[in-house]
Amino acid sequence: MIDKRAELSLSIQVCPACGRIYFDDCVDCHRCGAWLKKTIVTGRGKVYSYSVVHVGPKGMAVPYLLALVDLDGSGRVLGIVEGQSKNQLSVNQSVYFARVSKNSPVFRCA
Amino acid sequence: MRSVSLIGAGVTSFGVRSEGVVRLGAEICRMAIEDAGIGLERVEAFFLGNFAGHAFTGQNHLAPMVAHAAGLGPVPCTRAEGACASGGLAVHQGVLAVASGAADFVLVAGVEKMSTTTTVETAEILAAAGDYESESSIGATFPALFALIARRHMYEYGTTREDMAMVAVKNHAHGYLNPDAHLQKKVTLEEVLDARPVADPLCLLDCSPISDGAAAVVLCPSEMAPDFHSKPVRVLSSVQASDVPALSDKKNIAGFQATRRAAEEAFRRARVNPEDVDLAEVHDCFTIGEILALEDIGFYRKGEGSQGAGEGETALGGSMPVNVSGGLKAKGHPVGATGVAQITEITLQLRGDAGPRQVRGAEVGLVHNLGGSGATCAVHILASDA
Repeated sequence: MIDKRAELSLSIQVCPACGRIYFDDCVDCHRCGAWLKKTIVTGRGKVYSYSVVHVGPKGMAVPYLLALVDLDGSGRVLGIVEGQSKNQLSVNQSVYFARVSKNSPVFRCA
Repeated sequence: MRSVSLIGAGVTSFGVRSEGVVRLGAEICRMAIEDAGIGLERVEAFFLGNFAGHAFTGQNHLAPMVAHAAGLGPVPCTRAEGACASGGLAVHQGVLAVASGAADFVLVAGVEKMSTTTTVETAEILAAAGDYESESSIGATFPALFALIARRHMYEYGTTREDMAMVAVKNHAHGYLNPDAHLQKKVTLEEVLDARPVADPLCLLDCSPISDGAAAVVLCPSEMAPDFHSKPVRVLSSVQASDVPALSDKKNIAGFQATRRAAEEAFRRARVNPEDVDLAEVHDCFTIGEILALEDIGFYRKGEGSQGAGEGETALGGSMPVNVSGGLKAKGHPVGATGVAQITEITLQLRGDAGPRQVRGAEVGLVHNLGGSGATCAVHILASDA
């Protein structure tokens, strides 16, 4: 598993046609149908933008942190940032991939 | 292509309405037809903007239902759906139908009944306009998406919470003058800043309210328009553009490519420049939305859109008033009706019939209607035809 102290290595799937990034084991892009390409990234990234969400969908405990993250060596993804109390995030802050939830990435602050 | 003019317009008051979605739509259709001074039998095609009739009320297939309830004949009835731009798309389709010669008299309406669901349910229905797989399924509500946009705009251009709050202060002051507005009350800068957070940096008063409402317009060839209305309004251009829906797929989220494309083309086709526009209704679903729209349309340089409300330039009495109806922010945002209601507001203004919120001497007006987090955009430029 990912250890923030060790050299990180994360296997993701990237659509060569439209660029969408997948964190699950699907083989073709849900949108354009192209075969996905397995890509190894560090799992580290930088926050492009974020929001502390106070009113969420049913069943989701608030507040939670949402962030658009630019993955090192790959593209931009939207994910939850966990383990961070509110207002403790900033643009360009370094985060690392922690786990997958609902086929989307969950990050923690580096 | 033929030149197209507006000869009829109507809008219901926005807010929590007791009528159901079909009746709201039918009543506004009859009002617009009456304003146009034509009989229902003259209408050759009907387009209806509606976002989520089924999710809100259990009823889909609303175009023929509204048409039948309004008393229209067996004419083609088509629903346009483009999230919050559904109304703008319906108007665009109506303009194309008349311009192409397919029909002489076209009725366009927009309707949404949103007060039927709880706030949380409504937020989930609206979130379906985003990318389900990468956004709404993990808690990216619409306020959250626009919060991400706002945060990035703050980072890139130094925009502040106060800059955004000033948009709310201005548009509430406008809404105060509009008897059809959902929120007819002024707010102070402090009240906006101190409102409870929804998705930081956006608070409750940065967000448009959840409203019921409907609006309608009647279109015909410009050469026939003077026979039906003493103050017809000409459609100088009607343009629609698209962009990728998901924020993660956009290179930059501090502006909307679809707005830039639609506005640029709308100005080109209308043969007017941004400085020729006397007033505009732009898509302020959230306060940051108005700032982005002013920049992307070209009224302000990128990063300087907050000057509009901040320095009073976009307030009633300013150099180019924006959202004198109150905007989505104060007038309300019945999603499918919004784009049509923006057109009715500019129509009233260009006729000189807008009462206490009248922009004096208004001759050219622009309407900007945005769908989702910038995936769909419709821009109309209208001019008085007197």
